Amino acid sequence: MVSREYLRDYFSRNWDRYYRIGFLVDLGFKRRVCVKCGRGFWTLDDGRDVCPDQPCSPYEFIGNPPSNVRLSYVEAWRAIEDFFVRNGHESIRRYPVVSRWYPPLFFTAASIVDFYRLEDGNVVFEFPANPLIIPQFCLRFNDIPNVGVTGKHYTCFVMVGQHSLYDGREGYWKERCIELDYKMLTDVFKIRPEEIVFLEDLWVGTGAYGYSLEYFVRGLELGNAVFTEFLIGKNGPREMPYKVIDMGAGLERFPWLLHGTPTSYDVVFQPSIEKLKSICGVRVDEKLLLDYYRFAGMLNVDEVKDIGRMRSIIAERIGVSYSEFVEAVEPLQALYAVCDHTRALAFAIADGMIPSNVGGGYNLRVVLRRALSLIEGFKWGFNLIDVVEMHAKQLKPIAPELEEHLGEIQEILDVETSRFKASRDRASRVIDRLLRSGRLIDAKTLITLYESEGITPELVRMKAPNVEIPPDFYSMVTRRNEPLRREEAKQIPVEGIPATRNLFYEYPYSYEFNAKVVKVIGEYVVLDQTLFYPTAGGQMHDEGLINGERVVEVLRVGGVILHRVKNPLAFREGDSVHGVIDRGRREALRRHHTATHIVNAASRSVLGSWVWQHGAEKTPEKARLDITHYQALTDSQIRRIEEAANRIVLENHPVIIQTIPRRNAELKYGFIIYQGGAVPSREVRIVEIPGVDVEACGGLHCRSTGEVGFITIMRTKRIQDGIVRIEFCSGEAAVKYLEDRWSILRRTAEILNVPDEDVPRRVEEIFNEWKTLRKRVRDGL
Amino acid sequence: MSSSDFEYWSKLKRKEEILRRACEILRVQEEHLPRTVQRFLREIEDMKLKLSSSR
Repeated sequence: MVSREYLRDYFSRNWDRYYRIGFLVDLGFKRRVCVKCGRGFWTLDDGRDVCPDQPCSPYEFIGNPPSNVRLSYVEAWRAIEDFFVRNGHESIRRYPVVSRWYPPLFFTAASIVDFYRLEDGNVVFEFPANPLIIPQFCLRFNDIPNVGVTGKHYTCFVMVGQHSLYDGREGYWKERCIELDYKMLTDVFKIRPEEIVFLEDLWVGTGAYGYSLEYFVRGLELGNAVFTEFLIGKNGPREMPYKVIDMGAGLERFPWLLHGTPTSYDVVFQPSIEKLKSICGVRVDEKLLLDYYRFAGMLNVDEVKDIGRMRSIIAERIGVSYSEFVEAVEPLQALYAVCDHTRALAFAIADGMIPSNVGGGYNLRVVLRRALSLIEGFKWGFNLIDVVEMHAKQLKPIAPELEEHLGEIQEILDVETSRFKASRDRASRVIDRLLRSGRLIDAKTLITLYESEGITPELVRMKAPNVEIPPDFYSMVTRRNEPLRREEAKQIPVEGIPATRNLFYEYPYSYEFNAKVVKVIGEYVVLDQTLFYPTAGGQMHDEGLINGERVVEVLRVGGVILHRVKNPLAFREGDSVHGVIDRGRREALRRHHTATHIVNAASRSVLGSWVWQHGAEKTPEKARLDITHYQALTDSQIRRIEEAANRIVLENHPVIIQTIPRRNAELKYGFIIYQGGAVPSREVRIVEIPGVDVEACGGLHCRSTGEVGFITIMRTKRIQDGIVRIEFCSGEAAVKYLEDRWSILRRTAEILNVPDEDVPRRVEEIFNEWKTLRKRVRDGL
Repeated sequence: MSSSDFEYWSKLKRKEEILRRACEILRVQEEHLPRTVQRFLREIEDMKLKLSSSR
């Protein structure tokens, strides 16, 4: 991959090809080069010689908005939506903030991520409409220290996505994109054309990149129109067969610009902030805030490194003492951060992710604990759910689902708040011990305290006020938990071997077949077609015989299926062979796979919508399903899940399997189909139990839920924070398992010489007698 | 699923529940219940013997 600097230089040198927009030139926009930073920009103002970005230009809209239009946060979206719909765009509902369709990310970090899909290791774009506009709630956790401080940073924000896929026939390209953005500013928000400046830039995403024009008004960047032409593939960058308009604008910026408030939070969280300021008695010096945030926009904690130094510079410039200044801004900045963090948590939980110590859940716990620490630190008398309720009410026109999920959000926040309080009590003891030992509490110690004990630096500072907290502490801990690359599959050379025909999909109820040997690789035999199902999607492979030789393992590498046989010497290329599947094993695997879908659906209905499949394994003897849930299951929950699962079995629903385009499947069923992970192909195999469950799944299934037979849960266990394992079996395996239990009961009853029903009573009597006697023996009576 | 299948299943589940209750009292895994009960009976006998011989 070529460097960002190289690309910036390349696009800039070829500005006439990449950045020249005829529409702007016709209006009189001219290209200039910033005398401070050297970047190219386009403006109508002949006197302008600096680019509009910070630090070259200051914010000039704070306290001085450029238009008479005053719209609230939600109204600003409505106005933008209305404009683009009038101009031929389809308005699309937001996608989940948890990007399960795109595994390289935990969360939807930009609107374009909605349309990224993987295909053979490369990114492709799949648009549900063309062109489209979308209010995409996005989560980003790399700027946590800046949230509340700079006036513009968020962990949860709405990216207005204006997207078009241009192939020469459909969609549009950069001329039309910039024309629309310009007209949105001038016609909808009544910004004077002289106020608009386009800055040349580029954007490199996780899957694609392009050159871009950012548009600014009075020093505030409102949007970035990226003209995506190149893909970052597994074999390096390559030009795409089509072009993609990826214009992302922070919705938060528009009402901020229009109102000219000190921070964007004042207008974005307006109803919540007003109430919270009143509840908490936070008083605001408006003039000081206006002065502060005019400067703060220029600052970024990552760049300034020391937030304390930054504050003292600003305090000096606006002529107040450091302590006065901190006293005036800190409580308000904490309220802003709490508003942001609760919004991130609300959307993540509503979309099915819960705080934990692993994966994306880790980021959620970081912001949750930061929010709780701030509330504790200032001794405020409100709960996180109070703020979530305010968000739900305010955002109802854009995201009505937030209100629908309030019960679940409250349940998760309550559990996490209790855990936080428990760790705070423990924190007090741990920090006392640390201070007594005289050990230096440095950044490394703070990270260890956070990761092993859940103790936030804010809690440490309550006990030890002089401890230095690195300004990017929360970025440091979240960076340590980036998505992991999946391990490569077993490497067996299969280049040049044609894909095996999957007879198990064509004839799922056949058990014998004829085939030809295509290749023998060590102990593996490759056939032209096979009924043997390979280990895949958590389902164990079939076993059986090929020409009387035992098949002990079946693997898939790419499209080639490899049969590991006991005696590979018995096979030669070109041989005609006859295969026989072990029918009992196949039926048990089939039942356990369908049972896994049933137990997953039953768990979700009993526990809550945050339940997602984290992993699964199906063997002939039993199945295991790992689900996302915040605590170990109680006996009552286990019984209820089992009852719900058996009800689904008794209702004998059909199991419908169809292979359809991925895009159609997502539109019809939503992203719940990705329970087992994203599908890296254009077509997906959908396994649907109508009204119960629907998943993209490559496994073998029963024709109806009745065929699964009764399901019994054998055991459950909380295997890690946020993940619960359920082990169960069904059909004959379940009957055998329960008969084994009965046999144990009978043996115990025989030993006790009582009927089965009396075993618990008799065991209790014996246990009590044993305890009494032991006491007497110990007491020497 | 026939009604006799269902009756048999229900009976098996009742037996499982009885076994689970018994295991909870002694806090043992199901597989270990018979052996544990035997040990308690043996120790009860031993303790009774010990107490009677010490009188």
